[in-house]
Amino acid sequence: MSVLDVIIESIKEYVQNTDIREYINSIYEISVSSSMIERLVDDPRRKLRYRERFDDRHFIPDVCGFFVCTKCSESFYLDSSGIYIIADKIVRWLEYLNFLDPRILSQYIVLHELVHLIVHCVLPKHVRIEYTCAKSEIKFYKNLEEAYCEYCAINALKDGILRVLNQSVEIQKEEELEVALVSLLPRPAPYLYFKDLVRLQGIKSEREVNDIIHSFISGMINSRNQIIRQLYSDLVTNYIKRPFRDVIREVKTKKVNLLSKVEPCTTYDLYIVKTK
Amino acid sequence: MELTKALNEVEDKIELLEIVKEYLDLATELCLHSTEEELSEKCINLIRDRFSEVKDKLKDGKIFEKLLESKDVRLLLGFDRKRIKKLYLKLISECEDTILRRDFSKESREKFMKLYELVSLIGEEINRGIQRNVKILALLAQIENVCLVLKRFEDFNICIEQNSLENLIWFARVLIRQSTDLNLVLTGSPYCMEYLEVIDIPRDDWVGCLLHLYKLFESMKREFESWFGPWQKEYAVRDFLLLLSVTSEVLKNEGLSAQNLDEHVQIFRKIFGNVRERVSVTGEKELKSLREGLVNYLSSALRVSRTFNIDNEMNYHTYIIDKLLSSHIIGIEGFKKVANLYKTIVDELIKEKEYGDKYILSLLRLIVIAIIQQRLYRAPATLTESRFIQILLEIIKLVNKMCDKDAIKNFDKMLNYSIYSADLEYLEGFIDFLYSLYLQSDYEGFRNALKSLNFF
Repeated sequence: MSVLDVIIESIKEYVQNTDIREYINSIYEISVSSSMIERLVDDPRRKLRYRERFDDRHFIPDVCGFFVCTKCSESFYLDSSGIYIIADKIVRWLEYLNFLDPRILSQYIVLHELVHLIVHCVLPKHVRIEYTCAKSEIKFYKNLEEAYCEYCAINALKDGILRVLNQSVEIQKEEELEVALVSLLPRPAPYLYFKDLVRLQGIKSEREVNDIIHSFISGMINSRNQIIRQLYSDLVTNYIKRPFRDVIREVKTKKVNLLSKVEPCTTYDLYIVKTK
Repeated sequence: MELTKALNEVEDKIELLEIVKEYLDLATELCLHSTEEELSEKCINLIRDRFSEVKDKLKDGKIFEKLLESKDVRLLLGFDRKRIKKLYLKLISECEDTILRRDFSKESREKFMKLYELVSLIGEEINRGIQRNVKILALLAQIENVCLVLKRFEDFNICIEQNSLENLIWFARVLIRQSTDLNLVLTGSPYCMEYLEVIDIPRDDWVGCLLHLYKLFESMKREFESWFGPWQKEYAVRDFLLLLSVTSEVLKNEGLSAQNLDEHVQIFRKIFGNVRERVSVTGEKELKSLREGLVNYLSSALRVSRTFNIDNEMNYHTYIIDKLLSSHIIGIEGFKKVANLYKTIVDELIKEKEYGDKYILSLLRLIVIAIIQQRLYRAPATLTESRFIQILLEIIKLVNKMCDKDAIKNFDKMLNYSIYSADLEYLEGFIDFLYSLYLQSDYEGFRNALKSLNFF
């Protein structure tokens, strides 16, 4: 069995045998040209590259997979909503870092994208487009949602439960060293801020972390223009890195009410993408 | 009984095995189908027949000349031609006398063996008929030993076929040669003047011991051969011997009986296999390092599993080693370093029965992460230096002995965070900070720092 087959099989098995299946309508394997794959993953790379902190050694989860809701954002290449896992990209990483278990790295990518899906779907439907748009307007390295996805996925592997804001999904617990090895991968900002979130969870609580993310999302939605959004995301990002608690308290942000359960905009499928 | 004793003079016994192989039918007929009394009688009759066939030929001048030409014979009997001839002819007449007296005592049989040894020194230069008869004479003279060999085959349920016997002989030969190459005392033979360690296998007879090792090797042969390919069978025996010697030393270090050697060989073989499969060894220095690393690692792992009653400890170590050696992250020296660090951790924390096990595994994981980070991302080597590990161990002991539950909980939280999140830079800073408070004897500050955890 090739590494690619192991990845595809383990993703399918993972989704079918855990509560993740509740969020996924169907699983499809699709083959596309390699140039199409490059086009699909180019966006996160481009967003990061301009900051000159990104090089080939950096692990960027969104190059291996992404979530897209075609109802709320435009995609030039994709018609269907859901999670896309670029299996070939995971294989490439494993060639370089073969101390990682292919199964766990693939699951990790699925979890990261599932967090995006859940965050999107617990927001009131009328603000989803706005939030998606707001995120794209701030500098990518200030997008705390990415750090939150990393934080939730790492914790999920460790605890066997994916906890995202007010939702929780039962999955399976993994060996501690495997979790540490996934954490070990060098990430650029904003992904690497997950460590700050884990630390915050250690000093305070998980609730505090969720509160920060909730504030970040609300701030993005409520900010009147791009400049305020930038300032707001700066403030929150710095808060998790340094104790700016008092400053952030002064910024009055009306928190967006979260839905009690996940309400998808449309059906979301899981697409395992491989090269033709 | 030590293997050294059990396998004493095993090289001679291989000669015996060779004889058994060559005259298997005859030996089987004599040994397995005769009572003790019949056996002596049958043997002496056979000896008489064989001897009468070769007696005159052995006295032939040409054979005597060949004997004199042989350096080996001259080394054995001296350089005086007359004396050599006298001793040689005396030996033949003593053998004749033995037959006439129908004497089957040990001393008499030794004379036939002596004659066999002497003639075998010029074996290739005399005709086959003489060779064959002298060999049978030797076989008959050693009939008791042969009986023992065949009986032991039966005990061990080893099929006495030409093939298995050949394999056994091959195994015994390679085993002895490799033990010399590896500088291991296996045979107690005078050729091994310098040695690393004695392999201690409790068997009370050399054949039993040899068969035991053979059977153990056969049970793992496929696995061993898979590391190198079947065309390198000798390496499989070499590694088997290395595993045996490592296991033997681990048991000795841990004060365990050699009776459990087989069981532990089976337990350690996966870890050993992981290392051997992925690490190439060239030269004696590397071999020594590998052996030292394996002994340290397995001794520590075994001690942890016994002290804290952890059943699947070895499975976990198989996994750990697999991780470390994947991508060729570390070589022999790296493995030795990990083994030494692990030993340092175990030596210290094993004394702390209340909380030791909680940290042993965490720190092992920490070493693995630190090494991978160091090798792949060129992170500083501080965390894999023994000084840092010693300080960390000091801090762990201090925290657990001096602090209250909340502070211990916070410390564990910090350690777990550093490992799960692979935030080793943070860990280093945190431990340095605590250590500076400790050096200043600021214990209150130490306790408060952990209690509030406000620098986290």
